[in-house]
Amino acid sequence: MARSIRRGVVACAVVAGGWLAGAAAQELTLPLKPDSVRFGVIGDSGTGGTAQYEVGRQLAAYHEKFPFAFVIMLGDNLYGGERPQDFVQKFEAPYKFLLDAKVLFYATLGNHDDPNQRFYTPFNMSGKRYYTFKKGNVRFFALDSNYMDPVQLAWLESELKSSGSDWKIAYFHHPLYSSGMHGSQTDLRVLLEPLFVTYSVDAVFNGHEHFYQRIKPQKGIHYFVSGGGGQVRTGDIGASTMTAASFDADRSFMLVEVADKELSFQAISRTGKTVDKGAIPMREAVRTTAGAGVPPPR
Amino acid sequence: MTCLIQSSVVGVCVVASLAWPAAGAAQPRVTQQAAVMADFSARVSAYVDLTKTATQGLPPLKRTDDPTEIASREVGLGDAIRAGRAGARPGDILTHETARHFRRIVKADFRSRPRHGQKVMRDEIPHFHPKVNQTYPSEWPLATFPATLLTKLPALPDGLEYRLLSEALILRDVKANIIVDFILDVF
Repeated sequence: MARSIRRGVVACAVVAGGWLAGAAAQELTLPLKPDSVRFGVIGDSGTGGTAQYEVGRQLAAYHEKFPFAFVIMLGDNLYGGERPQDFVQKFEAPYKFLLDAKVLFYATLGNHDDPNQRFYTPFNMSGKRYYTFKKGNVRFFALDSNYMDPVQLAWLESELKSSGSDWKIAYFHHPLYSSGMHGSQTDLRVLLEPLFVTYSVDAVFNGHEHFYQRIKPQKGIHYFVSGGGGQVRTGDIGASTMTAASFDADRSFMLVEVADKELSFQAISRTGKTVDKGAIPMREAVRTTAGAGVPPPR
Repeated sequence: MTCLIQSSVVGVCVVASLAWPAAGAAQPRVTQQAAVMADFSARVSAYVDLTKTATQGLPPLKRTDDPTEIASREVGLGDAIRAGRAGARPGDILTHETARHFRRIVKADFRSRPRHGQKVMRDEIPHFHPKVNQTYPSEWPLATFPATLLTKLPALPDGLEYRLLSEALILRDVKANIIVDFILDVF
């Protein structure tokens, strides 16, 4: 367990041992402020297995307490095939409650996904491999990290430059920072991080690694890996100084609330345990203090 | 529309060829590379034209909440393109000369990566032998294409992409999900 759950020191306010006792009660730590932007986060979900369905049920249970309007999907939406029944067994059925409740899903493509998923209306990709959308004061940038060609990079820079939103959140499959089996995707980092820094992206959500990991701010940007929506690589998170919090003992998902200048997050296990929680300020307020001059960890 | 190609793509290809690692070499070599890339672009354009003709009249892939429709249209596009280029052979688009250039780029890129990076890259790559006009098997993942390597290869028109297999670089038609051509021995 010591290897599986590590608590951060800055934003994470979990009291040692406390989350275990309160887990069954499905603790909600998010502030539920009026008019806030609320969403769920799932990654690497599309197994069609029992665990995915249990995560789906937990998401549904939390939706009762924390009525989020949409879910961002971090890729690997459908493992092992793209047959019509796969869409049902690995997406429509596990999240039926949410779909019935008109919760929208905004997908990105993982390395196990056929890019033609972009035509599947419930994924809300508008027929595009990468796209952007706005909710309240938050602009989301959904990227295709499987194929980060110069055209996509130019598009991203143009969209970031013209975004007038208070908050900028990027999400895609492959993590720029991670301590798992795959590790940090330095190839992508070389291309994306300068754009994120230049245009003040606040937070980045990724999957690919089958666990939860919150990275200490890198150059002022908060990175979350949330790839445990369907399967988990138990004990896969290696020791690293860049880890703020992590969980690789079970499947997990995240809930996020953005209100005014604060983004609150809660990471929850399949069984409803809160495994991480906290809040981050809008990046503009921290960019002069976080990570400046520190070389990125590998 | 499937595989729209713009004249600018051809231009990009030529410019990209001039920016290759060997750009500082003697002028004849640069000229030769540019010629090879111009030929590659022409062959890609011809493929795009062929797919337009072959799929004319077929329902296009469009947004739908019915995955059966996506699957059937993908299959329909693939079948039509296969029929339109039934005689296609390896090297029709990725010719011997293009393959030689691409191999050099991929091998140099791979060798420049740290050992762990090489391992991660190889671990994710599917292990099957490609065939021209083959449907890309959905049980295999589409291995992530290294982003920095992508910047070293010529741009492709919308609807075509490069992908890596265990020992091959393939050219894949995205909407039809078929392998258009491939190069072996790229690592």
